[in-house]
Parts: sequence; structure tokens; C-alpha cells
Amino acid sequence: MLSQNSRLRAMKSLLYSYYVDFKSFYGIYIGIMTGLLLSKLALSSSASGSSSLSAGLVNGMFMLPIAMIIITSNSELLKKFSFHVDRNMLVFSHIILILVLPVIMLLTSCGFHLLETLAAEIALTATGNFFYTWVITKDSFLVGFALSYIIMVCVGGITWMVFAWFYRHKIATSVVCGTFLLALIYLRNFRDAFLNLINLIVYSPSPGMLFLKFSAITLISFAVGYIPIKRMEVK
Amino acid sequence: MNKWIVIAVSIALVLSFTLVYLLSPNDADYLARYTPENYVTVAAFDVPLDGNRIVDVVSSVFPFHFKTLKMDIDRIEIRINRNISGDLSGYMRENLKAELYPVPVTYERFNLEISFPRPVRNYMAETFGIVRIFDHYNELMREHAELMICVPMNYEIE
Repeated sequence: MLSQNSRLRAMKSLLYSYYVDFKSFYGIYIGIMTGLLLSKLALSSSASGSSSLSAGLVNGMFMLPIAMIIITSNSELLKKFSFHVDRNMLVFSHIILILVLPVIMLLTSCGFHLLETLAAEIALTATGNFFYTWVITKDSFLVGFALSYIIMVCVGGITWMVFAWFYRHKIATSVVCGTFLLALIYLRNFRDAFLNLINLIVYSPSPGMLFLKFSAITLISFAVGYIPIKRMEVK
Repeated sequence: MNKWIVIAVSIALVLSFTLVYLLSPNDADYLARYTPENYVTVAAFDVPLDGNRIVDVVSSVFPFHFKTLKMDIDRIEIRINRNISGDLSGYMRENLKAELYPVPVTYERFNLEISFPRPVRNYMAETFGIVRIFDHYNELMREHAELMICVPMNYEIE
């Protein structure tokens, strides 16, 4: 019981330390979204283009892998080790991050979407040559949110797995990834087979099926990424 | 202090999700906004009704979107959706510049040129673009159009 309590406290402090680390990450995300919003409504001649929801997804898909590359590095991992924090807790906290960060980013993009709409309403009353249309339905919004979430989680999970291996076995991972990339570029059959596999995964008759496929890939990534961290040496 | 900021931000984020959801119509209401009855005519051109003819829209209507429809009418009409935020139909009546001219020799083809002499801005509050990988949502989103070009039944539009 005492041990469980101390583990729980250690987990809480570990998550708190990640929360402190990720405040600046979230600040950068908000900065990019604000820049996109301002450039769209103040500088663009048409104010059309992708709205904040899609921009949030794309932004998150770039930022989440960067965050995963940072947190899996040896120096960052070793910084988090203190008494009671073990490898399992570390991996668990990473998984929590991969699951929670996309929700925060997507919810933030919803906030920016409302800000965009508010700015559009103001522009509508202030100028006579500005118009806007709400091209969202309840269904498309929920499906889009769920799919965007799982895609971000999946991309985050795969990056986490690759870099968990990379920082522990640099040469072996570089050789495997390098061979894969070169084969993708130079071997037509391999490229076609890989693209067919991607098609097979992405082509789904229903959003629920696609969600399940991405969830399965994420789970596999978590399992494979756990191996090198479990085995890593902590001095 | 820090804790309260986190709680306030969390509530704001959840509220923004809820608001976007509540502000969005369901699929049926959304589609109802883009039925032909919701479009008003702002420009019309008398055209010959004999034989099979073709209309080419030769200019871009950017930043707006248009769809085409064959109807039981005796002229080519440009219609504007009434459900767009702001008085778009009133604005277009005053500012839309549309010209229809026949292509010489056969006179079977007509070129339709649409332009907006004054700078005009249009913002589309779109959903997540990823939903377009599904045919259903792709077709649903494509129903949205600010302009509709209606042609008589014996006309094709390209």
C-alpha cells in the first residue's frame, strides 16, 4: 500500500514535470495557430483556404513527432529518472502524453475556429465586401475530430517507437530506416507494395473501421517502442 | 494560481468544442440550405432554345464556389445562395459582372465570363479536411456553393 502510494506520487510528479516541459510546446502551437489566423484574415485577399480545424491537425502532425523525438532522447529520459520512477512509469507517462496532447491541440483548434468565426462576423459588419459560410455539420465535425485525433496519436506513436529504438541502437536503426527509405525511392516493386499497404489501411468503408486500424497500429507501436526503453541502461 | 489557469483553459477548450458542435447543423439541415429554392437570380441571359448547345464558364469565380444545374427554364441564369452570412445576393446584384458571348462559326458554344469588379472576400468555416476521404462527406461538402449557374435542359455546361 505504501509502495503503491509512493509510485502514484512519483507518477504524478513525473506527469507534472512533463506538463511544465510542454507549456512552451503548447505556446509554440498557439503561436503558429495565431499566426495562421492573422495571416488568413488580415493578409489574404480571399480569406479562404483551410480553416483552423484542418490547420490544427496539420500543425499537430508536425509538432507531435518533434515532441516525441525530444522526449525519447537519452538526455531527456535520464533527466526524468529519480527514485520511484522506473522504466514502466516512464513509458506509461509517454503514452499518456501521446494520448492527451492531440486532444489538447485539437480542442485548441476548435477555440481558434470560433475566434476565426468571430473575426469573420466582425469583418461582416465592418465591411460590405466580406462574406462567410459555415460548412460544417455535426456529423462531419465529430468524425473529423475523431479521425484527426487517432491520426495524430498514430503518427506520434510511430515516431515515438522509431526514436525509442534510434537513441538506444543508433547504427542498427539507421541501417534499417535507411534501407527502408532507399528501397522506397529506388525499388519500384517495394514502393508499389508499400503504397498498396497504405491504401489498404486508409481505404475503409467506414470511419469506425479506419479508427480501429489506426488504433491497432498505435498499439503495436507502443509495444515495439516499449522494448528498447525497458532494456535501456540507467546509470 | 497556476492550477486555476489550467482549469479555466480546460473549461474554455471543452466549451469551444461544444460550441462548434452546437453551432453546426445536422446533415439534413445543411443540405436544405443548398437546394435550388434557396438561390435567387442575380443575372440572366436570353439564349436560343433550339438544338444542343454548350456553355463554358471561362473565368474563375474565386473566392466563391459554384455548381451547375439543368432546369426547365428558357434562359441562362446566375443565382446566389440566400443563406450565406451577409447580403451576398444584394452585393452581387450591384457588383457582379457577367457576360455571355457566343463562340463564332457554329454558335453552338457560349462562353460565360463572371468577374467581381470590387475586391471581395469570402471565408469558409470548414470542417476537418480529412473527412473528405469518405465519399459521403466529400459529396456533402461539395453541395456547398455560393453561386449556381442554371441552364436550359438542352444545354450542357463545362
